[in-house]
Amino acid sequence: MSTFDDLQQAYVSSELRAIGLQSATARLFQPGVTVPATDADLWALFNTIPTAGGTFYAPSILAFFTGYSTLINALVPGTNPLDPVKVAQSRLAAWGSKPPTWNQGVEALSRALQAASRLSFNFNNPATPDPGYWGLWGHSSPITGPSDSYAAGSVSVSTAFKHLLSFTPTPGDWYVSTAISLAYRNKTGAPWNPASPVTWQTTFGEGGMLQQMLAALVVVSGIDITANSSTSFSPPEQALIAAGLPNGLWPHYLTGSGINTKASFNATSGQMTTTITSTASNARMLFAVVMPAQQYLGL
Amino acid sequence: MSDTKNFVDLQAGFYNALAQGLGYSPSDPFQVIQPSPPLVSGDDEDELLWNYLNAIPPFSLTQNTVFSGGNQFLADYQGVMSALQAAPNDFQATVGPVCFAAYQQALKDGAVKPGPVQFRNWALVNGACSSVAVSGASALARAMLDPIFAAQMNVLPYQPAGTDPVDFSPGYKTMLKQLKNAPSRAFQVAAGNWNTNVSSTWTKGSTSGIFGLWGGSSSSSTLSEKFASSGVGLTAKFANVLPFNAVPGVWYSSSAFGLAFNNPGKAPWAPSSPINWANTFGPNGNMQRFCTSLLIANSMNIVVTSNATYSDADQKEIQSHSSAGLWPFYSSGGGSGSSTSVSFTASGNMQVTITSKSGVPVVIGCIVLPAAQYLGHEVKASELLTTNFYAAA
Repeated sequence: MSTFDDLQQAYVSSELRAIGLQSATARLFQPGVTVPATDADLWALFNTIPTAGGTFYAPSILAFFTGYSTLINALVPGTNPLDPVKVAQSRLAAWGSKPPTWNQGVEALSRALQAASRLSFNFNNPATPDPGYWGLWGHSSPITGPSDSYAAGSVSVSTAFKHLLSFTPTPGDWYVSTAISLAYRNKTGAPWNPASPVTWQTTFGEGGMLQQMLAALVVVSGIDITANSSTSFSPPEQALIAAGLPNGLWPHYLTGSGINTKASFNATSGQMTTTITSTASNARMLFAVVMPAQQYLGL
Repeated sequence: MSDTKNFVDLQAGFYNALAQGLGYSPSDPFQVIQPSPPLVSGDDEDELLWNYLNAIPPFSLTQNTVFSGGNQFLADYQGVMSALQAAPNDFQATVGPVCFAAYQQALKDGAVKPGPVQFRNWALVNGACSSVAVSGASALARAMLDPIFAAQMNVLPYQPAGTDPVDFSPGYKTMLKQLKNAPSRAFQVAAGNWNTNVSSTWTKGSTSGIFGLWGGSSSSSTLSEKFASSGVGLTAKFANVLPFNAVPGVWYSSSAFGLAFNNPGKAPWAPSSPINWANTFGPNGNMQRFCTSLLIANSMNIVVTSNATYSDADQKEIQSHSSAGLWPFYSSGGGSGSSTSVSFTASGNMQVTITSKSGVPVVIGCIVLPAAQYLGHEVKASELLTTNFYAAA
């Protein structure tokens, strides 16, 4: 008997396989939100340091730019004009307090998305036999509520995206990859300043400020999802589901303009069919690719 | 010679067939590049081509091309140059600190190109330097006999220290001309005839970038396994295959870089620099190998037949994915040059045809040289230079 967690994990894992993403680096957007409308908002997202976990939250307590600046300015520059730390520090000084940019913005994203390939996959989660255990009290069912009974039945989903893009911009002129890579490769000694509280451990170590970075966004448009369930929903349950529709339905819980979500019930069996469609111009973010520093730096 | 059991086997078999079909021996450091989007001409054609050469390749038989902002030839090379010490010279003393600083800034800003004649012409009309334009130019000419000093001057105008973007020579237009005159290649592998042994290749079989049946799918998905384990035959024809050799632009000095590689732990390395031989060329270094030659194909025609029987549902799923590109090259050009088509025979056998348009180059592989070979020919030159400039070291 699948729980809702099992169902969600199985679906996300087959979706990631279809996209070709490693599950270790992919974080789910819950719900699948629209792509930021301006370059500033998009880059603000890339400027966040994501927290750990399967879903993407960007608390933005410490931004990537701030963390990077703290690191670079804490390092000891060499005297040679080619020294990467020196170059990185002078690039940061020239950048000043402007918000950080990346080499591609919303227009480039939109152009690339329109040229991106279609992706579709099928997902089946057959119902497994009920072992017959009771719930909290004797003779009670362990299944309470529509989410549990939905997951306990057979679920089949066909998912298609007219366009699917992995969007990977690189940081703008304020960023010097060789400088941060050098700090990563030299755990102790130069270019680290022994007198500074900023160390390899506080930067790249457990809980460090640059332990992981947002490297890419998985963006889709032209969504066409149909989910069939074998579970019979009673009329009160159907009403409950209908009332929840404005919050978006599983999978991806899409809401807002351009999204059309329908839940229809078979008049005799009470079985539900969900259809979720979006227009080709409505771009949604499904996953964030979050890489550990070593992978982000190509080492 | 055997049938392939799974996708890893099939990829290995394809690697051997392609390397051999293109005229390489199993021990040559050949790397398959996937996916291979077509190099379409346009404003950014040179940049698109040079990106492949500027990326430091991973230790793998196949490479998935994702250009990270992390590990690039030019930026990493510039870091190494900062860690080297030029032999003493009198250029700075001749022009004085004010002129020297102004000259360095001008180099970074691209206001003057490196070199003594360029210095003289620039200095004549530059307040801080005009009085030392001629004496400075001859001091600079003497100083630039030292390969380290010259290399540092030459890379200064380039990113990230300067503003010039990375360049190689030749560029896209020459490549296209060479490609059209390059020889044709063809090879085929019959089902059951795959050589899946990659243990004697340059990575001893290590590979990091394996996709499945279609671009981006998992190599262990049911359909990919079915495809790989049920008798796969392959016919490949290329109207032209060009081993494209390009050399880095003026930013690169092989003699200075060779000196650095051949003198671990001593001059010209500056002992105080955090960048050293070990964290550059060592096992955890950022410059352990280089892509020296790209394999570029024109008019590719690849036919893959699978003896597996695919159900209607399987067929639908495969067809819906074919726009992401199917094995072996995953060319998801999206109308910009290459196309992939899938058809099924009446009995459910699959045939995949991948073609690329004539005149639209596709990068299919590269030759990866470890630093020791890339800079190996510099050993003799380095010994000579070391004697001349660093005899005391």
